Amino acid sequence: MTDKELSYGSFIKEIILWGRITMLAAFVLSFLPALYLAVWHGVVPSFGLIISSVTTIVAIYFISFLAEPLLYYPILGISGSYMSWLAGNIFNLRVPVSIASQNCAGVKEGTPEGDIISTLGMGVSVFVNIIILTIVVLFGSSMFSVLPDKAMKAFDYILPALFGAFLFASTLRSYKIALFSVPIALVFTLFGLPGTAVLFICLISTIYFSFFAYKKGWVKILE
Amino acid sequence: MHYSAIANSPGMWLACAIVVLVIITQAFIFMKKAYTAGLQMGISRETMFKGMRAGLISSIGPSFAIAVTLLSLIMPLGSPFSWLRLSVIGSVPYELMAAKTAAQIYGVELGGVGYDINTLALAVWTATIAAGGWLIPSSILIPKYEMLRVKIVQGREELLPLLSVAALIAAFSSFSLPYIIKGGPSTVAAITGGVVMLLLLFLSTKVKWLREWALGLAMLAGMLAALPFI
Repeated sequence: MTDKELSYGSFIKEIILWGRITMLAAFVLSFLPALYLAVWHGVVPSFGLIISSVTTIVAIYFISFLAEPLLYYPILGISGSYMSWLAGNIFNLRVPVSIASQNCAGVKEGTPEGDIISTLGMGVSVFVNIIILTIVVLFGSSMFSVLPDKAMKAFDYILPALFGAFLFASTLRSYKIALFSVPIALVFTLFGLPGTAVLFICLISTIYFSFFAYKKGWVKILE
Repeated sequence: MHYSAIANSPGMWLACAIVVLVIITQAFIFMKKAYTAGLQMGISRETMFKGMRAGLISSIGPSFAIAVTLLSLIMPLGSPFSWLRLSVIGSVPYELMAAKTAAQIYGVELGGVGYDINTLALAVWTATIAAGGWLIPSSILIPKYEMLRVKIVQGREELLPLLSVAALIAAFSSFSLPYIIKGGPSTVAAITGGVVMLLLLFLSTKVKWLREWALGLAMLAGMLAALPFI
């Protein structure tokens, strides 16, 4: 093993250890608000009510629980996954930041260098997101009340613009792969399948296609 | 006491701030370790700072988008809990779904007549417990996914970048198409964002600094272009 592989290997080991510790700590501590309501104010919903409302949510998100961490894995990598699944807001913040930081630093996704840069970029996004949310939650109502309603609605279109930007940019990486994935996504979206199902079908088939196309020499490993 | 007084009490802020500290700690530890490992691996300081600067610039727009939707959570869940759930673990649609389910069980509207401290408590318990569906499996399974990723390429490590690129092209195809075909301001925003992004990336071969700003500017352009159609 080279020095580089050794350093990256020990980095991964530490990330797994600290990823697990921080994730489980956050899950346990995330009960504090609920316990505060219970202990300080004596408000606890009955066990039966909690079960029935949790069951409803689990029924809705069951597929997402099982599939999403695996589906996003090839993009997020090992440390990116630990950060994203703890920090939340994955496809609307962490994934775009991960790709943007790797592109700007000039490293390839899916390589050890890519993973390091992605971790740094995503770490910064955690701080930026918390700072902006804190400002808005403290001063938001007065800050945004000066804006006309129409301007407030404009914020709804940041996300479509973000996704459009990434889709168009990805054609520069490999327009052939995009020529395959876009029609797949289009057809299944038109069928009215839920987002996670479309993502699942599109991702598996596109990965399969890209390997096949690579074997045939249609696509190259991209710079 | 009105539920919103309790939901916005200093005790609630304290309980939520402790959890936010965990994610800050994690981000700090991970960045420190990545920076040290990066230097050992021969990645230059300059490259790493470029990555961090890009992370900084490109997270501003999406964070504002999240912050604006956060305002819709404040009424039913209170400021501190909304702030916590969008800094750590959650997302707006998920938290809203948990709050709506809790309200439905009590037969009331979100924040409407009869929405009280009991409804709030049920929403808080629901959002907290169900999020374990993501946290618990991922904390255990993520290393297994890494083994799976290596297995998929059958030992040919040069295929790993192709796997990532294929995955991200597929992901953004699936994310963007619902908006592109929706019509109206969504379509205008997505197409404008895409065209501006491509233009800026072409320009950035001449003007280097544009590369980091391309995504932010494309988002802004898409948002502004959607304005007349709202």
